[in-house]
Amino acid sequence: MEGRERAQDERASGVLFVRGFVALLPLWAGAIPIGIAYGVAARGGGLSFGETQLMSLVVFSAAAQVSALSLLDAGAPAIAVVGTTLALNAQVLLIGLTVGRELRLSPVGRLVMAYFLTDGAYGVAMAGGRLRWPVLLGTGVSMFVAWNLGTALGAAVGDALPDPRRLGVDFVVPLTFLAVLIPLVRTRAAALTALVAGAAALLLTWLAPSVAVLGAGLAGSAAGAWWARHDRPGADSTPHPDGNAR
Amino acid sequence: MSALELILSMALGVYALRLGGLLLAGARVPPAWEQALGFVPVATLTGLVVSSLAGRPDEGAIRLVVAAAAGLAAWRTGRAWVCILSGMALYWLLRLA
Repeated sequence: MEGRERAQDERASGVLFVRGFVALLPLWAGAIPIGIAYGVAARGGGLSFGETQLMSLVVFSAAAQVSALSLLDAGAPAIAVVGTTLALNAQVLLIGLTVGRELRLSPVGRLVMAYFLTDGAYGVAMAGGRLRWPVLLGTGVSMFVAWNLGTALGAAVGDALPDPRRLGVDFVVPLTFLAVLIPLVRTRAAALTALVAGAAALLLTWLAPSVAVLGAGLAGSAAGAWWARHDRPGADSTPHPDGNAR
Repeated sequence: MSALELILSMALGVYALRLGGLLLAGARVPPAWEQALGFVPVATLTGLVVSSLAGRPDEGAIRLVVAAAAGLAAWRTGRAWVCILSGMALYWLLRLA
């Protein structure tokens, strides 16, 4: 009996993993061109094929890797490169906190999940409603495969490829985030969160682009929490049209 | 620092952040923080939308218009693929025009 239940559990987990992997496929259209761009730029910046690919395998962060190339090119010290890497990925700490609260993971599960945890993968995994670990692992691995495939292509073929940015394929990235975001904005507190986060991101993109997403995440969630605290209990429901509090 | 050492330092830093959140989740967090955490996905996604839109100022107007239309499509249909496909179709159409 127990063996059969476990086998069913494993099969269900496998199905959910594949579902997550497939759900992230639209983001491949964004990740692969950026991976190619990174691969080309890294080879151009003097990294070997092995170093270029290794960075994608172990760092696995487009923003950090692309910024590292430009910092190294500008002669920045290693400490600045590592510091920027941390700043660019600080939102992953917050996402880890939310994921850790929603999912009960074993110690080994945490070690594995942490390796593949990115904001994009989390965003897509959230779209199904309740967060499940096999789906999140599926979206994470899917992004990992796309990123490393793009890197390998870019590093191998170099600048012989046409510029994918000219085709505008990267536009699928904001569209995908938008498609995940919209259904989540159901309450006034969530709408205020998005509004403040959007304004913060716009301002920071201009002032300090490397921390735009982190700043938006902090400012937006602080605003949402503030609203929810001061507008309780109506924060999570629309007010009645006749104005009567119930 | 050699390239290899730099790559491994970056990797260690990013992994520490990714694992740190998952490990700290079991710890007690003040209620105000916890409430704020509930809004992190919406806030971070909005930040990603805005910063990825702002990444191409050369096409800013077209991308903004299409994003607004695709956002409306997502809101009315509740389907992610409608938002993405209609958005890309409209985007290529407007670029041709």
